[in-house]
Amino acid sequence: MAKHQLHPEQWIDVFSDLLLNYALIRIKEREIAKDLVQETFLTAIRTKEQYRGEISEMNWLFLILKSRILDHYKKKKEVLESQLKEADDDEDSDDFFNSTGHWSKNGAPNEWTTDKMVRSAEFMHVLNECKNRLNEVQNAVFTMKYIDGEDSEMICKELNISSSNYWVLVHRAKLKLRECLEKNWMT
Amino acid sequence: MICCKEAGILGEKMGEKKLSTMETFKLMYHMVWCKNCRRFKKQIDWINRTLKQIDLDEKFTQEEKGDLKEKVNPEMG
Repeated sequence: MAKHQLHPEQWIDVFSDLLLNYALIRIKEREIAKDLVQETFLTAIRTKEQYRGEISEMNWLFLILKSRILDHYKKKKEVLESQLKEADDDEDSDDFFNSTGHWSKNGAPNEWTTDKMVRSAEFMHVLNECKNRLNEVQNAVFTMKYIDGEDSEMICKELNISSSNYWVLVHRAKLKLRECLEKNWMT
Repeated sequence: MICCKEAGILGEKMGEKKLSTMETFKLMYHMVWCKNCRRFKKQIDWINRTLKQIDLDEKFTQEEKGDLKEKVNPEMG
């Protein structure tokens, strides 16, 4: 007998906010995040016969949403490709490092005081805002790697990114995210 | 000695892959001498840990929830 059962009539009241949060951490625009949550419920209803009850209905809904989000990244393939090209160009005009590849005067990290390094709700919003300032490709790669814990091989395959591009992208995303936090929270 | 940019990328790879002995040595040697890279690594490690706990506490408004129900409920049959 199945361990779990579906209660679709309760989904919106019970799970919609949780799913919206999950989507908004991964997708910049609220409207798109809302649409993806809606698509998740619709997909779940249409495929409910395939549910075997081996995982909880919440986890099942999250799996569907995760797959919808990945599809959204893939649909943006053209944008991703043009931004990959921009990222390559960006490498040549680097603000963080000088011509010898060492930290530039303005790009070097400043010391952060421990009293600012708190995980408050306000900080979480600043962190998410800073993440949202990354371009689409950096945001997608960064989210998959550091929030979803996917490995580089899977990310490169799904987003059609070369391994060398990937490491540079992630590193640049970290540089930008750290700089944004320093400017908007730590000072 | 490798530059800071290269050290950053090697550090990134090291989080997931096993570096060659030479790469590990180059990275470690750089980190011993470079205060800025040590500071960068410390801050990034903290950001990574924080990202895993990110929670926005965002909610659908009642109106948005109503719209969602209007679109989803008819599909339930």
